[in-house]
Amino acid sequence: MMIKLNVNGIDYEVDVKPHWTLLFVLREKLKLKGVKNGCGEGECGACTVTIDGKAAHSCLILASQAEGKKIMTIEGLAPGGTVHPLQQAFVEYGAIQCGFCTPGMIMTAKALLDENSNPSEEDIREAISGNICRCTGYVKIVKAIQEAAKKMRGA
Amino acid sequence: MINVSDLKTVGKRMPKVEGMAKAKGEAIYAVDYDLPGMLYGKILRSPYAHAKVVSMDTSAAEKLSGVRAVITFKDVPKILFNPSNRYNFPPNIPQDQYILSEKARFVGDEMAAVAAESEEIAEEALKLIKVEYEELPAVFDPEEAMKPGAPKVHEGAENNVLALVPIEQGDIEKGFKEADLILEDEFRVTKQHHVCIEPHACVASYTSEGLTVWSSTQCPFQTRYVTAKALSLPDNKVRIIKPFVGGGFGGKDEAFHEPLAGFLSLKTGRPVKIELTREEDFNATRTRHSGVVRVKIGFKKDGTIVALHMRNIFNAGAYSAASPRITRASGSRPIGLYRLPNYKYEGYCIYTNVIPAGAYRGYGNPQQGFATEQLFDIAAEKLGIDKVEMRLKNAVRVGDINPLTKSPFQSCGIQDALKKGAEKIGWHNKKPKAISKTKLRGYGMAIGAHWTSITPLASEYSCATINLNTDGTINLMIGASDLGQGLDTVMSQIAAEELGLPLSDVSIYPGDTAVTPWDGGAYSSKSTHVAGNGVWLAAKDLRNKLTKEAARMLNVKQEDLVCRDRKVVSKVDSSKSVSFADLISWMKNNSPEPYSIGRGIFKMPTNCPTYIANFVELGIDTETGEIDVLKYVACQDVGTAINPMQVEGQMEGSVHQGMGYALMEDIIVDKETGEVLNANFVDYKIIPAKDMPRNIEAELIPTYEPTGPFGAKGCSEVGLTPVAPSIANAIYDATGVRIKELPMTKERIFTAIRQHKT
Amino acid sequence: MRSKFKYAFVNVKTMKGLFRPKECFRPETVEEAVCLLSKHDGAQAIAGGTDLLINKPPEIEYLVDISRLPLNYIKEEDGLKIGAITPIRELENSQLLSGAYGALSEAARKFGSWAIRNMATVGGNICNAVPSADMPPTLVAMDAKVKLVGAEGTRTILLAEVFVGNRKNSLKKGELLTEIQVPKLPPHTGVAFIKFARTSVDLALVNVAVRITFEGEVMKDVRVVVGGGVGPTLVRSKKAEEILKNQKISEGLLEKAAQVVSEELKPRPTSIRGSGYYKREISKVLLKRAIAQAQASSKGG
Repeated sequence: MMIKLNVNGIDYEVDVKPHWTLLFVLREKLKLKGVKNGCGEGECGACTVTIDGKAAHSCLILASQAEGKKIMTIEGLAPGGTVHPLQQAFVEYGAIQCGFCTPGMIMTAKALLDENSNPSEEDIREAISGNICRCTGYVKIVKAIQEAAKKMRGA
Repeated sequence: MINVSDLKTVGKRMPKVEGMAKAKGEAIYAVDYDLPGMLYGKILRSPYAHAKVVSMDTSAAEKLSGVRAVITFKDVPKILFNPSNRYNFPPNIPQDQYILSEKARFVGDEMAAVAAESEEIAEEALKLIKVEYEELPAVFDPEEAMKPGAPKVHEGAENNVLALVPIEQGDIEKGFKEADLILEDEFRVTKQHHVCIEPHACVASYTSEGLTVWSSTQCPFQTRYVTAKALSLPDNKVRIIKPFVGGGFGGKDEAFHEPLAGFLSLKTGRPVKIELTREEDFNATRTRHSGVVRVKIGFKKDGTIVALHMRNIFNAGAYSAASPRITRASGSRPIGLYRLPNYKYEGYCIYTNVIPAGAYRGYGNPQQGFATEQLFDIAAEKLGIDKVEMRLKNAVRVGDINPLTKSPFQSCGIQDALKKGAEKIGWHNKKPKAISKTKLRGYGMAIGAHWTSITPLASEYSCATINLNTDGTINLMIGASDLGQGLDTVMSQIAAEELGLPLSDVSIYPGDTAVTPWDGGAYSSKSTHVAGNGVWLAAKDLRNKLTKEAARMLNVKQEDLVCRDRKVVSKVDSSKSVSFADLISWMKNNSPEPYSIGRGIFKMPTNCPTYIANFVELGIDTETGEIDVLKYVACQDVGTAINPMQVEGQMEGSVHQGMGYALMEDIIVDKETGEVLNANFVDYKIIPAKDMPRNIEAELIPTYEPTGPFGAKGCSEVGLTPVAPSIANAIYDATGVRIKELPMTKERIFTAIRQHKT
Repeated sequence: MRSKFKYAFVNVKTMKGLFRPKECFRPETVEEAVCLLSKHDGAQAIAGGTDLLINKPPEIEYLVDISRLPLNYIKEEDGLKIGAITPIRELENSQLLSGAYGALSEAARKFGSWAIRNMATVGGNICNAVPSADMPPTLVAMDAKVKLVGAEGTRTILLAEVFVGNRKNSLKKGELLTEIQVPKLPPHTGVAFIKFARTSVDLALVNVAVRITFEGEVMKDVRVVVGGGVGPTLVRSKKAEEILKNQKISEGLLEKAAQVVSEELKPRPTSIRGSGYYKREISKVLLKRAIAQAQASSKGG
């Protein structure tokens, strides 16, 4: 079935099979390799993108269900050589080790900060509990999100 | 000894050199490679724990449109290999695997494979392969497998004993005779899975030039060694490229599907990608060794340890892989940590029909630590000695003779780590036990040491080359592997420091067996020390060459010249200087060697452990068995921390994995069928961010290891070892209940508290 | 524990067959959706997809994507009316779920993980009919009803009647759950929901919902509902309700009620998440705690 997907501000026309997930289409058809496949069951969060600004696990959405919505992946967060404060903070505060969970983690953080510009530590930990990181123990990830939030608030 | 505070890059909290690429989603991992004409490989796995293949009919699968190859055991080279073989390590481990198995030895064993135009077609083809199995009796528990009459997993292994690895020191009988207190106990440890967020994956391309494999691997050169053997190819025709790796922790220490993907590529003439699903990763890669740790330990009444006898029975699973080495390593841990005059270790690793066990962060250390650190606590209580005092008394010190190298330890921060940790947790100023009517507080601690490298059992060495660019920036080539632990950054820092360059002037190119020089791989917490020294030697070599030519150019003495701020400058007359770019330009016409390459080849001369002391304050809900870690303190001696921020990250990550091991992670194998029952994230639980302690303090204890680059030692594995025993000791402190089986789930704690009350 | 594997390859998703629906319909109206579900054998509604796309049942031949239907709402109308495809996140944040209804927000807060709550729907959580579902116990304790629209017409039944077995609901072929109706709660009513699991992001081992309407210190009306791995469906313990009704809270009374509840559960003796023994013991602890919380909630606390 032909569907239109709006990803990172660009409209794509893709021919999809009914059972194809958004994750599969993003990675294999649109070649957006920044979106990662860690489990296929919505638990690890490596596939997290934002859909109309809300965090969503793209492995649990049919591609056809994403039609007509605004999808953003890590590639669209700060296009054209710019750097988003979250990306800067993740690098600066050591929140990245192997980096495989990072795109999904940053997209979750973006969705959080767009909704709540001054999250408490509990708010942050709640939001990222759907993103598994095996490397960091989350300590520096929480710190990076707090620092990015400060910067984005202009504090 | 170098004063680290004088340094510009080393010792500083530098952000990772590849951090921004990862943050932008630009970093490419093995699974992200799409090559022209690429096919997708899928593997047919055995549903039985132990079975003969009576017949296999692949005709229907072969006919399916889009299928380009279907292979079974009869097609693959009949070469036995061991995927964990190391080139630099004596070849005494069993070679017991083929590329595809001739007989199913565990649920998930690899029996056939398909390469097709899409993943979906490959999946459909698997369904069409008809296999007739003759089920055989199977055994899953190692102690059952050792009994006479137990089903035999491999021919030639008497009573399924894959290996018996002993270690002895002193006279154990004499030791126990001198003891005033002897304790004997048994502890059960479980299978933990690495759960790298990137599942195992590789892309192989076989052309007339040879085989190239992009692989999510920790050891490119060892993988090349195994792959070349399995496919009967010369080394120069096998190229293993390590892209960014999404976590390893030991789980990608071996060659996995490089030989299989390579063979499929050879057969089809097209590149082949094999990407495991999460379920396959849980079912059929590797886990930590489970088994039984039996310890007998003897102390004098003043708390001095006089004898330790440990007997481990480890469940190796269906194939040997690295089990003999890990079983042996488990027994080598206590002698690096404590002054043990009399020590005996017997390590058995046993074949069974379950998922094979392999290397996992700690490599046998967490298993023995769960036992010995609890026994130390039990002894301390019986002798009326403070538990921290007990460790201070018995832990090794600088100047003690290293039992592996027979020369003195030159750096050892365990004493300071203990004192600092005790202070930070408030060990001598504990808060009251009762938190509420149903919640009790407990304090616990445990220590650990981890040998860095496998010297002197093997020759450990690493090489680096530095290519100089025309503008004075450098390209650093290393064989060593960054899996996310920060190695690329640390190596770049060492080169930058030695050559007086800013970090941004160093570009690092790691892990390509065709282009980068040899390194054994990321294991045994050795890369900072061994690969770091290789880089340091290469940088020193280059510095030497540059200062020699600059001395000629500037007409000064070479020994007066230093490299600083992208220049070569005289330390006695700063007006005598030349920028790297200008020097290189001068060299092309004026030097006998118009171009410079720095070379470093380093052989590890010693084995210097990294030490850690962990302290925990936790609350237990006695009505439910729930644990709430209120504060976790880890104090580690890594010599010089080349990058303190990365070391902290490793320590914090170790606490997370250690807590998972202690409290909930467990690959559950069905006692009837041998299948893994929790091969997904819904059933196998990892601690989420909101359940992790809010207060984890990672503290670095500064020491200086003279044989290490800028005084550094290895770092990344030891943090996991003391977590489980520290928590077990804290549970005892709170409730009087001692738990000797992992994982210490809420239910296990609840049941133990209930039984203790009655 | 029973063997799952009868096929020549290990993959829970593919062992049963492959998930390859022929078509995905995207109806614009409820009538259209119901027509599609009735007409086609092997047709399955999909909204959030957070269970369906994990299990990928191979018997599904047609997907009916109901995520665009006008069934995403929470309104105050004779109590509350909640559209079937309202995401769990809406329930977490809605201002309308105040007072005693707050227990629904609490249940939503304990559901899955943050991003999953954006995608999963109340209707899906109900129709899935797993006993460990997080929304049903509180809804059942509130005497919720559900509106089912089918080819033969519309009917409204008690939510509790939807659950007939593990993953078995009582909807007829072609019926679509469109609305959840929560009646007005009488004054001095407190509702509490407690979930117990291995981690904060896990299926419930045991979850308990308790609703008490007080008259002074006396519990005039009580509902006790237990979910989790406690049997083929959630359990409403009328026996415990009888013990508690018309009584004042006391330690002895709670002990008695807890014992009764634990005996009514039918968990399997062993499972990955916990043994039957543990689940029974935890249910006792949770019941006592939930009653205390319901009392506090009834006072506006």
